[in-house]
Amino acid sequence: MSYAWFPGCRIPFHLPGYGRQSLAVLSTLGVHPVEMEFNCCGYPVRHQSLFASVLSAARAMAVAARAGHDILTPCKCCFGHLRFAQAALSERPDLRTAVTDALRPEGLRHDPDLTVTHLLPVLAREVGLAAVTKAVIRPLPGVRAAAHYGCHALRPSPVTRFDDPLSPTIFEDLLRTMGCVPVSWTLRLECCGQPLAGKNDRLAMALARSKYASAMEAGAQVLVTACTYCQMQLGAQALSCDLPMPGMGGAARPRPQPPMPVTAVSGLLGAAMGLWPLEDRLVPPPGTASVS
Amino acid sequence: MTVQSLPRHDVDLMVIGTGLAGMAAAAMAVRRGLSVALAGTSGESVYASGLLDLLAVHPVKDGRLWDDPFAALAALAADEPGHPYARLDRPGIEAAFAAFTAFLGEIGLDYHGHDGKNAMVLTPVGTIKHTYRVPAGMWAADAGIRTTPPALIVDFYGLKGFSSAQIAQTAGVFWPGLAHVRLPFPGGRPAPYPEPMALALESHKTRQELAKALSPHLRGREMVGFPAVLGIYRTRETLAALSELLGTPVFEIPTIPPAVTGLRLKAAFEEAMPERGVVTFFQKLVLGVRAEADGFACDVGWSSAEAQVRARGVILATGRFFGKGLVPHRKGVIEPLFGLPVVQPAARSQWHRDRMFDPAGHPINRAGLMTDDRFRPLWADGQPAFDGLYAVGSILAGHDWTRQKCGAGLALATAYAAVEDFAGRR
Amino acid sequence: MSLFAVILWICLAVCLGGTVWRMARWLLPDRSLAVPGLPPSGALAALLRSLSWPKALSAAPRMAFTFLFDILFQGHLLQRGSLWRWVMHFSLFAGFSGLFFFHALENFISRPFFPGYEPTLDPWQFLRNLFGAMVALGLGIALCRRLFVRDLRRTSRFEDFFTLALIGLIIASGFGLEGAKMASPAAFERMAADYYPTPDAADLTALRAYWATEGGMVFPVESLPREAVTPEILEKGREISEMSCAPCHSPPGSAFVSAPLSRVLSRVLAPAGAGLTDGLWWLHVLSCLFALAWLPFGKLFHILSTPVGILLRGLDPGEAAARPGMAAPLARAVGLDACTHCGICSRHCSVLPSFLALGTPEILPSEKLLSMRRLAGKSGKLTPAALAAFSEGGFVCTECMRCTVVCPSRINLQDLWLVSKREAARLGHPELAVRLRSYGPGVWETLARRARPVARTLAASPSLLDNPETFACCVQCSVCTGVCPIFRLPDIPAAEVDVSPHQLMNLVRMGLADHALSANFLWNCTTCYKCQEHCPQGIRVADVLYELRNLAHSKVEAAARAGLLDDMAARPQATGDAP
Repeated sequence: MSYAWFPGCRIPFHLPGYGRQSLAVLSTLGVHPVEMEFNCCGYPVRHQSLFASVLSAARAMAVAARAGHDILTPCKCCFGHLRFAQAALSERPDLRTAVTDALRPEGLRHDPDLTVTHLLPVLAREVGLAAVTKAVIRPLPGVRAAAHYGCHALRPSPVTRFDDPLSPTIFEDLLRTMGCVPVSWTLRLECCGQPLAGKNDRLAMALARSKYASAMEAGAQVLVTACTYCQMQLGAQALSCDLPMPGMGGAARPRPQPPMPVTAVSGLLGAAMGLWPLEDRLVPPPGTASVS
Repeated sequence: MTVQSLPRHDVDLMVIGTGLAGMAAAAMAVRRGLSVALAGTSGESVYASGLLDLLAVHPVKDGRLWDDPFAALAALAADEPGHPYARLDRPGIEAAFAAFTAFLGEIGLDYHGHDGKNAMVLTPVGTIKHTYRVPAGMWAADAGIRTTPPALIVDFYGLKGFSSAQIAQTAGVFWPGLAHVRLPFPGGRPAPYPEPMALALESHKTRQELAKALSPHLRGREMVGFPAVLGIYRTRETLAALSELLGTPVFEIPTIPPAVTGLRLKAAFEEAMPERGVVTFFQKLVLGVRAEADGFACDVGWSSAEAQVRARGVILATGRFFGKGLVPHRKGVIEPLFGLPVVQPAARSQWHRDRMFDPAGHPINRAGLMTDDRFRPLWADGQPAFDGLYAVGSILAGHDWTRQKCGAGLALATAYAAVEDFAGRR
Repeated sequence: MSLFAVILWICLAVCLGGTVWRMARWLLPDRSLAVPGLPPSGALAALLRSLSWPKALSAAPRMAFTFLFDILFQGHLLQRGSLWRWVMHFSLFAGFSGLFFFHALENFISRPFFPGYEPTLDPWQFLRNLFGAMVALGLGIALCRRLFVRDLRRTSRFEDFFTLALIGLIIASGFGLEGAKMASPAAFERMAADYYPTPDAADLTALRAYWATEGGMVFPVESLPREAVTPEILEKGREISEMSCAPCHSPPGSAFVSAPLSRVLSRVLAPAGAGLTDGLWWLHVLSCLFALAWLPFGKLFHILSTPVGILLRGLDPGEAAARPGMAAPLARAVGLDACTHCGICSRHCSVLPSFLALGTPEILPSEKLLSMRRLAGKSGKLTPAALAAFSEGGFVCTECMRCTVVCPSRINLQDLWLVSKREAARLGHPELAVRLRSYGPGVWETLARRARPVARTLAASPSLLDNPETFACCVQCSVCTGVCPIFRLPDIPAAEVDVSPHQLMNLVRMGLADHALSANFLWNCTTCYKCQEHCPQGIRVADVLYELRNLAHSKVEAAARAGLLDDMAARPQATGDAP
């Protein structure tokens, strides 16, 4: 099976590290997705126009299909929306007709059999937990990690088919391969708040804060994401991309610093595989590592 | 493009249904060392009160309440030999309850009760409900009703279907001196629904604010009753902390469904099942089952198959109408998954009696599957449908659990019996 | 002063004045391009302050390389584009530069620096034809791309074709002029009178015969030899030509475009005679001078602005966009002027399918930039409709940075788009969803009465809202509300959760979708799908919420087309928020 790498729009500017590290981890594990030029998956425009969003997804999938690749993405919103579009196209003939007509001038056609998958299932199921465990040469013993599942990969589960929507385990399984101790936390499956960022910042930040609080209450030392949007919202990277607001002396809008380290899964896994050093905030103080 | 094949799982036992019966069956099967898969939608479990009834009313047309559920069982077995309880004995039922409450304790939900005796809790309208095992949060009410100390009932602005004034007035008949108070929910949180409230009360800050707001009303009060919103995921801690802050025993009164009480069970199960190695398909349906030489092949999914499970045995715990274990059609009730014959009134006109609130209940509420003594459903000719297929819980024929107050006991005891039988055959 | 000189000086003055005016706007950028908190006029000072000798020295090799490789050789087109694109633009650029410096400025460059320069001598005659042919080739490729490449045709505007036509006119009239001169007996007679001072009728006839045969010149019948042209006459003509003409005239064959053209012209247009040469001369000169005068006002200005922009662009445009420095307004202003409207960005744009579905041109970067240029030119005086389109385009952008990477003019578009969102919001046009949220039921009812939603946004009629099956099983149990993360949030104003998900389902079930649209909660939904996943009855709660938002957008789009939007936008609160 060959994959086309579908980084999604937010990687190049907002989170280039996540894209680079994911590819590095994948290639070390023997998965070599092909880099291609794709258009947006359509997720950001879904609330504005179903047609625009499904057309975007269908075009991206058709481009991959024409090159003979399946799609692999590190972003859960891209993943969820591409799956959603596949379902919508198979469910609604009117939409299918409109999309087919719009793709025809470019010589593209929708392929309902294309596989769309996400970084986590590829790591945990395709590469396999055993192979990942074997590749982990510098495990992170006893790091208490909170897996942040994100919404759009899990739900709606009939469409995404990612994991058990109420009781997923795939992320925790992967964290264990790195030697982390996954914590059980109340808001594990809740929204990070990113969809409201820029639209209703107060709610967006309240959602993020509630997530930090829940993870810390459960004793987590690090919050681990596997989605570009979640990482942008919860991670420190979001701060640097924030636009300066008028009349504030050029300073960025004050956003609370994340009260705990938030890292994308590939950064952590790559560190455990010895590809790069562990992030400073995650290095346990000397003498504590051996205890656990 | 590659068309990916469906994920496949091979297990000993497939449990279909994630209500109380399905959950209990899965928990007990894990306890017996079986490998288990579990599929079902949340269905009725979000409406559960959390109370574990055994049997409180018999005969329903007289509405007779029993203090001793086992005496009631004996009377029921004599009067209604077609009732599933008639196939069970007391040690089996007690073992089922013991095993299940022990399991609940392991996953953070403590239960209490009297040996061989029903306990009493307050209902949201101020009446008494008799039940066999009580969640820790409601347990103090049993002592309260028996000893009637001066107590305070609390409710919150905006919370629908729950009035402390009404409870104090109605319960005042048997529990004199009940005071009541209505407070704004601490922190000024706006969403007047039990789940957000319960989640908020898991935070220490909210509990402190609540205790502070309550302090002027506590003088001389030896017990405080709340709507059942004292936590969802960490009820043990929430209850203990609030009790300590107030300095009095605290008890919960169930709220109208969907209540937090059901969510507690659901959430704890959802976390515990995968931890115990159960292959879970929550919010999924078993779309089709094929009998094979040594068991069953089940297609699991929502609108189309998403996974396939092969199991030696199947426990059907899909409930009655709300759980969609039974589906009413114009000409009769069917069991959609296996097409098993359903015991039901001969004609649709006989489904209900003339009066809606007839104390005897309605014949349709006793419809369900007929089984043998090992809870294997039968074909019309009286033979077990499949060797490894069991039916447990409310899908069984011959009971009226809502009126007899026997839903939980039926679920636990039949699940226990079916699992024991299946495990014993190995 | 001759008429030509008057026109020349006017055009030069217009060109110079216009250039000064445009460059002044680089130094004093519009406030829409400012970095908040800093005066935009300080950009140049900041840029100069940031310069230091060590920095300049260390940057010099890079700058020199950029100038030689990217600007003169246009190598970045090879790196980021296709061979065709490089051939097209390099031909245009190199050909036009050659013509400009050696032909147009011959009195200032060719003659002083190249002794013996004569425009009619090789290599100059050949080079002029070569340069002209290069420009023509570039024009041809450019025209074909704009006409036949679908993605480029989509964004091609009048100005693009007008510019091509103008350059085409200059080149065509130039070749025509040269060809006409070669075929012109009048020119021959004038030259003969000037450079062959002892006219002998027979010699002249021989010379005419020679030029008629070898040069393709068409003479009036009476001036040619009466008898048949013999080799002897031709030989004599050749000798005279060698002696008197050759010092200033290379054989016409090296004018590989004009010479064949002259033969065609002489057959077709011979009767026009001297008038044709004069006419072509004026056409050529006037088109050149018009281009000169128009240079600062059209896309030809990129000849100046793009190299400046390329030199100004930092190594890491992403970093520059994320943390704009003091000099950012200057770079932004130059960037806006550096756009050639080539359409490459739009061809690669990530949200191109959204444009195909929604049809708002400003979704495409090349078109959005034009709006932004207008905005920066008039300090925000766009019409409300244009502003709305600018805002929609701005917020559909996903900030993927692809356009910044592919831009042949190397404009930091990423930076401009981030500014565009900010500016749209500042001018009262934030993301549409934010605005729709403020509309009360009154607005939606008015819109429903006065404008029909368009199918374009929905692509098909709503599939869930109109279908009673969608809600048939809803028992209003409120599980969806209980699991909603927004309803679980502590300490948020009650107005944010004015209508709960299960109430919204009920409103829609009762056919009161307009009331549902005005619910704050509809716009606060995070689309986390918990409601849908937990619904015991399998109601597609989140999908319905999405469809409601789609409906709202399509209604507003319809209203905007019917011209009702400004009306509505002006008073969202008047009929708006429920208490």
